[in-house]
Order: sequence, then structure tokens, then C-alpha cells
Amino acid sequence: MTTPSSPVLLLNGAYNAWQRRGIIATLYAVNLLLAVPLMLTLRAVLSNAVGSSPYIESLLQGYDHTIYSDMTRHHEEIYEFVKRSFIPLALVSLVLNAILGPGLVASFEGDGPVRQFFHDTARFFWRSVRLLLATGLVAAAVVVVCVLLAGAAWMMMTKGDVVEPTYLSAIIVSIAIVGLPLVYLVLSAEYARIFLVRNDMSSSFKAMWNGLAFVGRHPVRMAALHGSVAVVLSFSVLFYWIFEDAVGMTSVAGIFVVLIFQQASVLVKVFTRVWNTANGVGLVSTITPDIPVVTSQVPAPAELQATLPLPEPSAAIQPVAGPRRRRNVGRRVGMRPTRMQRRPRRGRHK
Amino acid sequence: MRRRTMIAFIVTASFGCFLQAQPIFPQPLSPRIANYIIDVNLDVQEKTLVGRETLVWTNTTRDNIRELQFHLYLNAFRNSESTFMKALGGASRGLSMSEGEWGWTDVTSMRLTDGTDLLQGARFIAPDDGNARDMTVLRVPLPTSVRPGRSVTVEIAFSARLPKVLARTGYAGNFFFVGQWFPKVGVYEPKGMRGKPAGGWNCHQFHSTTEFYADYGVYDVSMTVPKGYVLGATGIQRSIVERPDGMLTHTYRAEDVHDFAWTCSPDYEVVEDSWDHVKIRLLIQPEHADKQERYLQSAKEALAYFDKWLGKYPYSNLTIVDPPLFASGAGGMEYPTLITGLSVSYLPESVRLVELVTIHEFGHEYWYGLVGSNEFEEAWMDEGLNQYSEGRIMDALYGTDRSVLDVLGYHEGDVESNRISYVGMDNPKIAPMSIPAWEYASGGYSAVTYSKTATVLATLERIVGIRVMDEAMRTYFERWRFRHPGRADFEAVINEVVRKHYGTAFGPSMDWFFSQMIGGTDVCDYEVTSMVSQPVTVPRGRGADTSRVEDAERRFESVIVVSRLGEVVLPVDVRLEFADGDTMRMTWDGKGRVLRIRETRPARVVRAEVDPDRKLLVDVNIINNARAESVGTSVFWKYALKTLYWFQNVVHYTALF
Repeated sequence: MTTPSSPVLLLNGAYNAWQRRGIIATLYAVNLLLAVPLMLTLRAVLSNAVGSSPYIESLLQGYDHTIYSDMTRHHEEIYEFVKRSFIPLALVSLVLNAILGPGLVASFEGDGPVRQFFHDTARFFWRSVRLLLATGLVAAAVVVVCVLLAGAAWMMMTKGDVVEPTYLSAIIVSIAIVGLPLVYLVLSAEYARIFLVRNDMSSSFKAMWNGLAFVGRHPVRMAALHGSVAVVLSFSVLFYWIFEDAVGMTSVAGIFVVLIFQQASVLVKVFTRVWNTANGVGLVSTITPDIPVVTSQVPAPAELQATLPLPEPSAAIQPVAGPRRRRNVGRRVGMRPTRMQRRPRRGRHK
Repeated sequence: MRRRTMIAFIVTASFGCFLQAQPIFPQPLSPRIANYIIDVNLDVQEKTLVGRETLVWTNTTRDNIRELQFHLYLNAFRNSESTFMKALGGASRGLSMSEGEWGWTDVTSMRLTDGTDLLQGARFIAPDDGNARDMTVLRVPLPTSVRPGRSVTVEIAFSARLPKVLARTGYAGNFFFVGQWFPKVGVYEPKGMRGKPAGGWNCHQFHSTTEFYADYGVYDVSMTVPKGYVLGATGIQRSIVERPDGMLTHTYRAEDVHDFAWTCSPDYEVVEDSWDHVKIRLLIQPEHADKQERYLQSAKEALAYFDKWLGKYPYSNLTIVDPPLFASGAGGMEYPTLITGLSVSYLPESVRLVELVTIHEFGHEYWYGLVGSNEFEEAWMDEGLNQYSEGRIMDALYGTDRSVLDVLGYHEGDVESNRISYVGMDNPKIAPMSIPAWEYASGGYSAVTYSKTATVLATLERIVGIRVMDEAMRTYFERWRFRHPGRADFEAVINEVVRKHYGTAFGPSMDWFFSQMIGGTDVCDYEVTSMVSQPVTVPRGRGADTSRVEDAERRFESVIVVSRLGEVVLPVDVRLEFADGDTMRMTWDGKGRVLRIRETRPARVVRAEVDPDRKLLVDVNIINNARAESVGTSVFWKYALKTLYWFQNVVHYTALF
């Protein structure tokens, strides 16, 4: 079997993401629901703090260092509110990560109805939490080791030198030593989530291990698929900044136009995130196809498949059917029925 | 061959000596009290200096001088016990010292011309803190006193090791910046000079927050460094002679200066330019080569501004040194006719670090170089005056609200940056400007000496007007160049010029301003506390005068309360704006705590401002200086929505990574 090229996978991923507009809208709505109350509170804090001073109006026309610094220095409640908001917001978002992530992956197994999305988010929640913790533990260990390595490399490279090119090289090397493993880890976590959901795995650590193995085996594919999404994302962010700068927020109309564009930009970010997952799921599907026997022997239409009981896994794969008994899931992942194929049985213990 | 080389060396050296003795200025510009002839060799491997120095010191006072006092600045880096290192805590600008990187000066011999050994009676003293381990000031008793008008010649031999660059001087790789490197005589201040109650040596220890103070004189300095090293120094190059051992001896002469510094490195690229009568020589690191135009242009702009503002730069040359970034401790320093800048690769033009440092350090050629204030005791008089000058030049050249920084919508002007550094201090009352530099608590020195002084002077400029301020600064410069003024001398000039233009409009003198701002620690803060307008109450009832009821019904009584929250009392303008477009302006002397203004007019008051022209830059809070009946809410939406975007990003990247 030949796997599709990366551009084809990217296009398929974009198409599949676009087909899940309901999920994109749901994710965006969740985002907005979390952020808007904070924004409204901040607006009230600002108004209460400096609402009587006309000098504040100069900030509408652009940045005024004197006014801005006096305002923030004498009304610390403004910065305090923003600072105090970020950590709880990040924690709530982390919980959301455990909830939304598996649902997003699962949505690519079927047609992606929003109802199914919520069903799967609940189903995989605890395993997703464990995966998140596993990722966090591995990340902490990796960061500690890499920082030590980067420090050693920095010392070796800069010893006795005072010119910037040397230090610039050392900075690049140090960032690479810390950054590349972290990128690897983040990608692995993404693929671990895919394996966790697709294979209905109960062990988050095993899923993490599979993710690490999978990403390690396909570095070029990773760079092509996820690098492309990252480039699109970066351009969209850059474009937003340029647009905001060009329009300015110096009038009611300007603020409104930027707001519309800002929210469009957030929507694009959500889309790129869904696209990214679609690419990952697509890659896993093509490299480790779902039960080759079944896919080659059942050309029936999807509607028909949904009404028929799926065949039991072939005898050849029976010994490794139970997820807890399996070893090296990453390599054999294609030998196991997928969650969709087992869906009629409902529940992983039946 | 060897003999021929030796003859050539002797001939060239003799010619060099002849040139060296040739005067630069036809007439001395300064009293030329401390004059040096120095011959020094640099060992670039060992980072050591071995030198011989002849000091001719003249007693221009009426006192009989029985001793000399010398600065041995490099001993600040001798060990962790020096006053300098103790205060610094071992690190400066992110640089620190470790074993093998210490620096020091050892005076190996000190004799009078008749052979009298002066070292025997010499002792280290610690006049500022009594630290017996500090070896930065050497007291040398003389066998006979130096009488008024007479000179003493001292032959000194010394060896020194340069520290790794930590603060101002030292080495980093093959970069050498040699500052504060030779035994340097202090300043003898007679009674009355800078308000001194009695004559005595002014020779302070080297502290982490202090700089320097010395008498003017002539320097003839020969520096021997390896061939291939590019050298720059204070003064004018007179000769370069190749020695038989392959080393090069560079000879420089500087007249009417009070310090001598030099630098060498094989990596320097040399760029030359000129402005008017001044030859500019830029020694730049190869990795900063793209910044050369920024260095040169800002130096020329500074030369032109000071020339027009205060007077002519008397020297014919200026050397700008660009140190490596990782020897930045040597950057941003000033020496006569030689300054060090600061640069970083890939620095965008909108971050005006190169320009700011160059203009600031060049400014020191005036405030330190030409007007020789005491940087130990009155640091505000050089750093502060210079910071004020820098703000004026930077804002004039690059825009008042973006002269320092203009990146991605964030911008900052130099004058406003100074103000914010001062008013943004955790404790703006930490210390007055007038205390010696070493007495500042940690963190207070730069904010008070640089930023507060600049803000105070900018406030003074706005109170008396820029024309009067310019005349005062020019008068001060002309009167005190090549001399050592003190605070009273500066204040006297300001008082004189203000009185000339305003008579007693500001009182008999401006001391009310100086005592609060220079000698005090209090802060200035005015506030529009409240602003209420109500329709005038119509007279009613039996016996009330109802003849003007119709008028009264159309009138409003406005009450505006202005408060002085800070202790500093400065006269301030108050401006009221009414709904019919009419305005009213008045001046409040600020002496009371509260000013209550009652005004009855046909229209409500819609806006009240204290200090509407923003003269009082020392006001620590501008936001409370105005109050309006209604303030547009768009600005709150703008910033709330900007923050919404960040909140959404946090949610997005955390929830969906």
C-alpha cells in the first residue's frame, strides 16, 4: 500500500476540518464564553479606575507612554486583574484540554456530529487527564535534562569568547537543545491522543510511548504536515497584527472592524487546530490502516456499514486483541479494530 | 640589520618626542595643574601593564601642601574586600569576576626628582568608609611642603593587571579598554572652593556608584602594544614607532583634559569622518560594522547641537569606541575626547540604543570633560545635567514621544523616559540629588542622579521658559569650563539669569525650587479632586430678591476643588472649560493644601485641569491632573478588546495544544 503524499494529506485534512464546522464553532464558542466575562470585567475595572480622567482618551489615538505608565502605576488594580486572570484561565483551559482533545480526535472517526463530539469528550476524559499528566511528567524531565545539556553546550561554546556571532550560535544551539525535544514531545502528545482514542487504549503511558515512537519514525512527515499548519498559523497571526496596526483602534468604527477581524483570526486559529488534528489522524490512518483485511474486503457504502455488525477481528490478530495485554502498540496499531468499527458494541469492556 | 633597526627606532623615537612636545593649543585653556608623562607597555597575554610616570603637579592655591593623594582605581578590582567590590556584590551589568580575573595596581617606586623615596611614608587611606582593606587611595607625605605657585615632580613606576571587564575598564578576549589605569593625583580643594569650609585633598575611594574627579593638565602618553593591535586614546596621535622587538609604541598628547584612557584590539575596524573642525575616529567591532553610520551620524548631531547650544567643542578630535557586547561593562563611558558606545547585532533602527549612548557619552565631553564637576560628591551635576541634555537632543532629533524606542506601536521619548524612571521608582523619596554618590541606597543612584535631575531641569526649563534656560546653561558652561563648579555655583547662575529676565517675579531667587528639588526628597502631586456644577438656586420666599430670578435660572454654580497631595510646593496653572466653550485660567501658588474655585456662569464646567501645559514634569501622577464631565468610553473598549484577544489566545493554546 502506498501512503498519500503530504500535500494530499494536508488537503484532505483541510477538507475534513472544514466538514467539521460545527465542532469548530463549538470550540470557538467555548473560547469566547471563557474570555468574554473577563474582558467585560476588565472594562469595568478600567472605567472605575480612571473613568473620570480625560487624559485617558489620548490612549485611544495610540500609545502614550506617560499616560499609560502613570495609569498602570497608580491604578495597580488594572494589571492585577489581568495578572490574576491568566493563571485560573490557563488552569481551566488545561482541564478543557483534557475534555476537548479526545472529542476532537474522535470526531474524525465518523462524520463528526457535535453530539458525538460531546459524547466522546466525556468518554475519554479521565484517560485524557492521565495522558496530560503523563505528558507533563515527561516534559518536566525532558526540560530539566535539556536545560542542563544546553547549559553545558553554552559554557563550552562561549568560553573565553566575547563576540556576538559566537553567542548567537550558542543561543541557537541552546534553543535547539531545549526546543526540539519539546516540539517532539508536543507532537508525540498529539499522536498519543490519536492512538488513545482510535485504539481505545486504557493506558495513557502506553499511548504516550506509541506517540513518541510514531513521531520518531516519521520526522519528515511531521515537519511537512505540522510545519505547514504552523506556517499558515504564523501568517494568519502576522496578518492580524498588520491589519490591526493599519486600521488602528482610534474610533468606534475602527474598534468594531478590528474586533470582527480579531474574532475571525481566532476562528482561523481554531480551524488550524482542527486541521492539525485532521492531518495527524489522516497520517495515522494511512500509515497504520484500520484492519487491512476488513478495509480491502468490505467495499460497502458507509451507510450500509453502519447498519451491519462488523466482523470480528481475524484469527491472526486475536492474540493481541486486548489492549491491556498488548506490547508495542505503536507498531501493531493497525492490527487492532478501531473504535468506530467496534462502536456497535458500545463500551470498551463489552 | 639589528643595528640598523635600532638606529631607525632611535631616530623615529626622537622625532616622536619632538612632535610630542609640540603644543596643541597656542594658549592653555585650563589651569594645567596635573601634568603627566607616561610610558607604558601592555602584555596582552598576561593582561598586565608596566609603566613609568612623571607627574608635575602645581599648587595653584594659597595653601602649603604637605602631602599628595593618589587614586589607584584598579585596586578596586584587587579582591572581594575592596569597597567597590563589596558594594557591587561581585557583579555589574550581568558581568562578574572569578579567580584569575582580578585587577590591581602596584606602585613599585615613587621618588622626587632629587631621588627622595616617597613610598616609605606612603599609606593607603579610606576617607569615605574607613575600610582598611581598600587600597584605592594612597596618601603620600612630602618631605617639604609645596608652596603656593610652586610645582612638585614625582617619578612613579608602577605595574598593574587589568581586570576582566566588569565596570568600565579591563580586558575581554583580545579587547582591552584601559581606563583608570595609572596612579592619578587627586584634587586639592582650597577653602571656599565648592563650598569647602577648609582646604584639603578631595581624593575619594573608588565606589561602585562613583566616577571621577581630577585636575586639568597635559598628558604625553606612550603606549606599547603588539603589532596588529589597533589603538585609540584620549588626545591626538603624535607618532607610531616600531620597536626592535616588533612591538609598536603609539604616542598621544592631550592638553587641558583631566583623564586619559586608551583601548586596543586587533579586531577593530577603523572608520574616519569629520564634523566642522573635529575629526571623528570610530573603532568598531566587525560584527557591528553596519552600525557605523548610526554612530557617526549621532556623534555629528550631538557635536552640532552642543556647539549651537552651549559653545564650541575645543578639541580637534573625537574617538568613539564600540566594545564587544560581552564587554559591555566598558561601554557607555566617557573620557576626554574618547567615548565608548554600545551596540548589539541585529539592533533595529527604531531601538535607538546606539544613538542614545553616543549622544549621552558625547554630552559628557561638556558635562564632566569641559565643566569638571565632582562626580564623587555631586554626581547629579554631570550625569544629571548630561541626562537633561541627552533628552533635549534625542527628542529634538527623533521625536518627543519616540526618540528612545519606536517598536510595534510601543514608543517612548527620552524626556518622558527620564520622568518615568524617576516617578516610577518604588520610593522616589529615597534620597535627595545632592548627596555623595556612594551614599545612595541600592537602586537609588541612577534614578535620582540621572533621571530625577533631568526631570527637575526639564521642569525648570518649562517654568522659566526655554530661552531663559538656554541662556542660563550657556552662561554656566562659559563661566565654569575648565573649572570645578559646585551646586551653589550652578544655582547662582540660574538665579542670575532668571533675575535678569524676570526680576523678582519668581521671588528674590529660585532657591524655593532648588531647596525642594535638589536638596529635598519630597514629591510633587497635584490633583483635580472634584468638579461639580449645579443650577444656581433661585431665591424664593418672603423678602427674597426675585428681580433676578430669570437670570439665575439660566446660570450654574461650579465648584472645583484642586488639591496638593505631595509636599512639594510649586506654582501651578489651573484651567477650566465650560460647556459653552468658554475657558478660564488662573495660577495657584500651591501653598495651601486645597484650592476651592467657585465660578458662576451661564454654562456648566465640563473640564478642569491642573498644570494643563504639563510644565511640572516632576508631578508623580499626571492622570489625576484633570477631570471631565464625561469621558469617552471607546478607549476602555479598545483596551478591553485588546486584552480579550490575549485571553482568547491563552484559552486557545492551553485548551487545544
